Amino acid sequence: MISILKIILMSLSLAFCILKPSYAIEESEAIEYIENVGQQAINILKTPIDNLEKRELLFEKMLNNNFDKKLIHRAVLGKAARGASKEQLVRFGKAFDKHIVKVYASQLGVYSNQLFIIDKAYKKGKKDTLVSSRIEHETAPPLRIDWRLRNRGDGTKIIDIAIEGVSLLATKRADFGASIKKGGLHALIIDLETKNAEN
Amino acid sequence: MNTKKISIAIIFLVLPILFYGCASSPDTAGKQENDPFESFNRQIYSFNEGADEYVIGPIAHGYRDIFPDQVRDSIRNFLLNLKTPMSAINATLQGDFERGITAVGRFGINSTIGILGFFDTANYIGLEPVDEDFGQTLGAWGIESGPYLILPILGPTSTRDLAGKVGDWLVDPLGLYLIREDYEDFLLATKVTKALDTRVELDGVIEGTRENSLDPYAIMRTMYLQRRARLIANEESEDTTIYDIDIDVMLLE
Repeated sequence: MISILKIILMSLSLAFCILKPSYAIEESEAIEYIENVGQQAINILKTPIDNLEKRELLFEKMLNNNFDKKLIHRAVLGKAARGASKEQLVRFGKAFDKHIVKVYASQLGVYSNQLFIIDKAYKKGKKDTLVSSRIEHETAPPLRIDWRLRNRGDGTKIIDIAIEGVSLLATKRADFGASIKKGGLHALIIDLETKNAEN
Repeated sequence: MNTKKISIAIIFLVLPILFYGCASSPDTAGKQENDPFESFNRQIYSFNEGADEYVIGPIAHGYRDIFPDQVRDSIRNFLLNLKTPMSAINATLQGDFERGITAVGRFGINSTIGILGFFDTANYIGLEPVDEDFGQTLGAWGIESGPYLILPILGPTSTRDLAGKVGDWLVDPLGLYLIREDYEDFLLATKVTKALDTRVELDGVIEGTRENSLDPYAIMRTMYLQRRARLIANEESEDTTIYDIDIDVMLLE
C-alpha cells in the first residue's frame, strides 16, 4: 500500500514538474526566434572545423539558451525517469548535453555560403508552434529543418528539431532504449559517459 | 524469362531498397515501432555492417573520389530521369495530378533539352524533381508500413515498401522496355550506380551513426521509418512526422 502511494505521489510530482502550463507562441515571434537561432548556427558553421573547442562552446551556449533541456531530458527518458533520484537525473542531463554538443559541434559542417530560409510558422495544438525552414546551397539539395517551440512559462524554447523529417527526440529515444532495457537509467548514464569519453 | 533475367530482376528488386532505407525512418516517437523480427533483423544488420565496412563503403568512396562532384551530379540527374516515368505514375495513383503532370513535363524536357537527363533543365524553369515510388503510393492509400525488415546487403525496408518495390518493377515502363530489348546489363549498371551514389550521399549519416550512437540499429530503424513517413506525406506537407510526435505522451511512457 505504501509503495502504491509512493508511486502515485511520485507520478503526481513528476507531472507537476513537467506538465507546467504552456503558452502557444505567436507565429511572428516564433519566426523571429528561429531567425536568431539560425544566425547562431551560422556562426558555429563559420568557426573553423579544427577549432572544435570553440565550436563546442558556441553550441553549448546555444543549447543552454534556446532549448528546453529539462523537457527534452524527460521526453528522451520517458518512463525510465520514474523513480530516478534527482542526482541521477542531473547526472544524465550532463551526460546527455555533452553527448549532443560533441555530436553536433563536429558534424555541423562548415559554412560555404549556405542560405538559411524560413518558410512558415504555424501553431500545433494549444501548446506548440512549428517553424519550417530550409538550408539552401548551390551544389546540394535543400535541407529541410523543422523546429518545435513551446513556452512553459520560462520564455520561448525549442523542444525538438526534425532534419528531413527525422526528429532529434525520437532518434535519441530510440538510441537509448537498449541501454535502458539492459539496466535502467543507471546503465544509460554509464554508457553515455563512456561514449563521451571515447569521442 | 530466362535465368539471367530472373537474377537481374531479383537484384533490381532489392538493391535500391536497402540504400534508400539507410536515409530513412519510423512511425513516430511515443508509439512502438513495428519490429517483430528484431532479433533476426539485428543479425542481418551486423552482417550488412561488415559488408559495408569492408566492401560497399570502400567501393562507394572510390566512386566518390574518382568522379568530380559535377560528374556525379549529372549521373544522379540521369538516374532520376530514368525513374521519372514511374514517379509520374505513382504521383497520379496518389491523386497528386499536379506532380504527375510535372513529372511528365520534366521527363520530356530533360530527356531532350537536358540531353538524356544528364542536365536538370526542367528545374531551371520551375519544374521541381518528383521522386515517388509505389511504397509511397501504398502509404498514401492508407496502408501501414507493416513489420520493419532488414534485408541482406540491401538494408532497411518494411513489408509495405518491399511490396511497393515489386509493384514498381512490374510496372516500370522503361525497365520493362530495357529488359525486352536485352539491355539488362545497362539496367543493372544503373541500379548499381544508383546504390553507390546513395551510399555516398549517406556517408555522413552512416559514419556519424556508427561513431556516436549507443544503438546504431535502433537509430537506423527510427530514421528509416520517420523518413518514409515524411516522404509519404510529401515534403511540403504539414502532416509529417514531427507534427505527429506527442511529446507529452513521450514524457510519461
